[in-house]
Amino acid sequence: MRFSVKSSDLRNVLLSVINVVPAKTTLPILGNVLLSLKDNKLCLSATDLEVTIRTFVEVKTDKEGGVALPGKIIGDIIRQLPDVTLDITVDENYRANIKTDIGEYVISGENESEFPSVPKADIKHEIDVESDVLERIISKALFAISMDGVKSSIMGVYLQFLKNEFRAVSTDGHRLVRVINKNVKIKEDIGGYITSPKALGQFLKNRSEGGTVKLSISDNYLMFNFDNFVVYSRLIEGMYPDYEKVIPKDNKNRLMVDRNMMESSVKRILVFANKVTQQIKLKLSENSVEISSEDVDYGKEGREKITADYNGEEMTIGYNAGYLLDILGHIDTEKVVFDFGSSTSAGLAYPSEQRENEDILMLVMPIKLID
Amino acid sequence: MFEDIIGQKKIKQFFTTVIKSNRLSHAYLFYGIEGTGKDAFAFEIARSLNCKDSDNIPCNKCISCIKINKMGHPDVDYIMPVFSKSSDEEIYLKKREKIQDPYKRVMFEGNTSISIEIIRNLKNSSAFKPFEGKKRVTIISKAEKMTLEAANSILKLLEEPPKDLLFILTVNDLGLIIPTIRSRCTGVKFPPLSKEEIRDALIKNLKVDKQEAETISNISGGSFSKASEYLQEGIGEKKEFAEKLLEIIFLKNSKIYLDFAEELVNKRNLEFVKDVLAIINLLVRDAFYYKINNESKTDIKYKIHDNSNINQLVVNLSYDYLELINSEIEKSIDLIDKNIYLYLIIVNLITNIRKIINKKI
Ligand SMILES: [Zn+2]
Repeated sequence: MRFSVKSSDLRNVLLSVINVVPAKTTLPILGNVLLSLKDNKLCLSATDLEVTIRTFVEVKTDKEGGVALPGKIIGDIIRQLPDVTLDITVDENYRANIKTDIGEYVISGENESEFPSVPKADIKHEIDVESDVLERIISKALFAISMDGVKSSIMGVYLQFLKNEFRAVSTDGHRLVRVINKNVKIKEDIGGYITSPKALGQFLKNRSEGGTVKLSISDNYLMFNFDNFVVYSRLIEGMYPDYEKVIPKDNKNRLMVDRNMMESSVKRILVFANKVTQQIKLKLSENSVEISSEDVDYGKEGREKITADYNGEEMTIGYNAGYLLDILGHIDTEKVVFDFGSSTSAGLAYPSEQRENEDILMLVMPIKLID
Repeated sequence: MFEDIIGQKKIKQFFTTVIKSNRLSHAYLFYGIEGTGKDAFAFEIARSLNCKDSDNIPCNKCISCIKINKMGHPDVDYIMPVFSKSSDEEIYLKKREKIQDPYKRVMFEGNTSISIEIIRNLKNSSAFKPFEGKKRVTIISKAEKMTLEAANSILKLLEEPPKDLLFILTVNDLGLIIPTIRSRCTGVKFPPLSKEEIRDALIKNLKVDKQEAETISNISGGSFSKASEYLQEGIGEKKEFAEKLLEIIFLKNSKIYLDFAEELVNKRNLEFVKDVLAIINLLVRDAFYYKINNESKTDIKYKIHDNSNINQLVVNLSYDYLELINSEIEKSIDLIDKNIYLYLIIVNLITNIRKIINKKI
């Protein structure tokens, strides 16, 4: 294969692909970036087996072909090169020769066919979503996934496609986020798919504002087609938990509070909490909430009272401060609404006003207080 | 399917049927001594389940077969005991060496294990659907080397395995695997290969001449790994040690056999010593057969000795002594596996054989 390309044209696409190359792997071929050249299009792709990314750049060629080249080396050189034209030739032994005005570089690669390839499987469903809508849904839902590796189905984000209703759900067993958007055209219910958080991250990272994303679903993959990119999420096997069942329907004690005020208060009170449990207490009473913490081991404690709209039952609830901050950080209205049931049951949080066609709900389990 | 696998007709039939009728269990535990084809079977099953050819399965030519044969298939994983400091590169090279010759004893020498980290990574990767589309196969070689933590951690995965994921665990000694793992897998016993199977494979695969193949197949104890090791290293030095031991046993000079024990221990290689003892076993058997069959050379059973001195050793002993001596040797081989001080084992063995012989002489 042989082609010419400007370093400035190659740099960004190459670096975004190299970003997926795993630093450490038991499968050495994954250390490579796959280059395949056809119709003056240089396709670049990389995978860590969880997420696969593919993008392309226009080049001038007189000989098509393909090769897998070590990602680290080509990444390092493309970062360092000034704006020059690269003339790249790859011989039948997969040795790549890169010529520029300032020098010549040789790299040994591998046979392109040995690179893991996402099969061209039958696409079962296709859904168009506005890129900005998808970005919002994903970035709201991503934070609550499980990281402990105990239960694989909740290690991903559950993307659910109901008739004209797109949902993203994540949970780690202690908290849950459910984001619904009712402004996505979906002809019929096609169920849910547990999607790799890394793949979602790659979409967020590489997308540009505006435009449309085509989501394609096959047996084993969910693909994000946008701009010059395709991001493939390998789907996670298994059943997603019946999340609707854990969302309480009759939490009657409503608190409405200024989001910023509460966030900064929780951050200060966290300083005085036990480092391991991160436990803080919310004491709810008429039109106020008292946020407090103590760490008996280090003889420290803190307490703040903020005014709020509340006229439910008086109660004191323990929470992991980190979980509360995650919730507050992902709500973008001035005020945040909490619906509490009791000091031992799941609490709900939402923005004080939902956007049109949108429904964001967050759930957090309390920590049992021992008195 | 299974054309290159030595012997094990029943297991071949079993898996051919099971694969063709798509009735694979989710986890198999292959057990039997080293060199009986456990890994060879596991690899062949992985290839067969992922091969892209339509009739000649596995074809060893399609891109899927090639990837597996280079240990580069995203859906086929081979886990082996390693050092905590082994690099990914070293591990990968070992795995490749293994799949290129599945009967070869390929391992890291020393105190290796399959750690909880390895099993955690496996759990994470097993959460996903197949990468290239067919069946995921995870082979855990020497599964007894899983640390207790790792073994407990894999239980749930074996109990509720993800769809399209086949586990094959291999182990030399079934007794070394914890019962909770055993009960979650379908056991497949790999019996030792017959002498004829080993002999024929040596002739066919390794182009060994008939006489040598005959000798080696006789001492390899049903293990093709052992047979090819004997072939490579030759049994010369081990046989010399074995013959020497049988000669000095009749001397009354205890210094000589203490020196001998020291010399043998200095080889510092347990496998070497075990092989020497196994050869002694065969030499003694040969000598007895020679004696019983009216000293006709053609009746020597194992055909491993050409040293007529050995025959003299047993001239005055009755056949019963064969069993006694053999059982002493077997006992010593067992002790070596149990990590008993090697020097002591050898000295005890010599002393005990002397006692048996002296009762008679
Ligand atoms: Zn094939």
